[in-house]
Amino acid sequence: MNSMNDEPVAVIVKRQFPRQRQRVFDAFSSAENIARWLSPDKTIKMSVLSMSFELQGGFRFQFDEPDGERNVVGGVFRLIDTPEKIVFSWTWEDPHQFANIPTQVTVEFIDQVEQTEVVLTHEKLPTDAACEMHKQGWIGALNQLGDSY
Amino acid sequence: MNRQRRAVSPQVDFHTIDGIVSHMAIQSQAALDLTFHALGDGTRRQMLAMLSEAGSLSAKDLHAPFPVAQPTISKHIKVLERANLVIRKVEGRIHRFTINAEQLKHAEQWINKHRALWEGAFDQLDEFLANTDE
Repeated sequence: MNSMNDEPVAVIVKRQFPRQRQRVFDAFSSAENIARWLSPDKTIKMSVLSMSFELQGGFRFQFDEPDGERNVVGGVFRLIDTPEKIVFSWTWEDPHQFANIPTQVTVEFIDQVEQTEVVLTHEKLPTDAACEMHKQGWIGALNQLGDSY
Repeated sequence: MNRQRRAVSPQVDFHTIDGIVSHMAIQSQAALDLTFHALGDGTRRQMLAMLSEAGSLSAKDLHAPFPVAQPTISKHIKVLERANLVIRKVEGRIHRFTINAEQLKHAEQWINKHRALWEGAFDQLDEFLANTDE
């Protein structure tokens, strides 16, 4: 009935970029580059407070919203496999709604014909045997479940 | 200070420290931890889906679709209760369960918020890559 019984809850976002893999990877690997794009939208300004892109190196990013709300997230690079994969922890600081909840982000860079696919998995608990389709299906189901109330 | 005290190892597991902080500092965050643990199992998710559809079910109803022993189902129900995802009502000898939509919404918010962050970030990344062409 349920062959996949133990996969953690996760957010999975996939996107194809019409650029070479190394170029896409480089957008993640320096403070200067990552500050240019990592925020939910253009009205929210992201500033890199610190970033040491190396194994066990840390980072802190600050997000400033137009209404003055400010949130800071911190983490540690747990795996850097240039230009294929980056894994880092991601923990919001107080007073963020989800402060102090340890999460992990895995970014995979997949070489395709004239493009690079990026698969980002943000999860509450680490996993190495994720069944993507199943999770995607569950997120959809969860949303529907919420809608019915 | 006690000099015998063990130094913090540089290999220390941040997940564990963060986990402890989460549980000690703010109750609702510890609750979210429990919620995600509870949701990380296919059987329990199916039980929630059943409850969402039916509104209220007995332990026997919840057991019906699963080819496992009653104690296993009881265990799953306890995990869901501990996570505050289901509420138990005792009517005589019958235990009836309903879903706690409020708690489920909290988990849903976590998912939606982070999905929006990365979707939006990838939109901007696309633009950044286009604008920084050699």
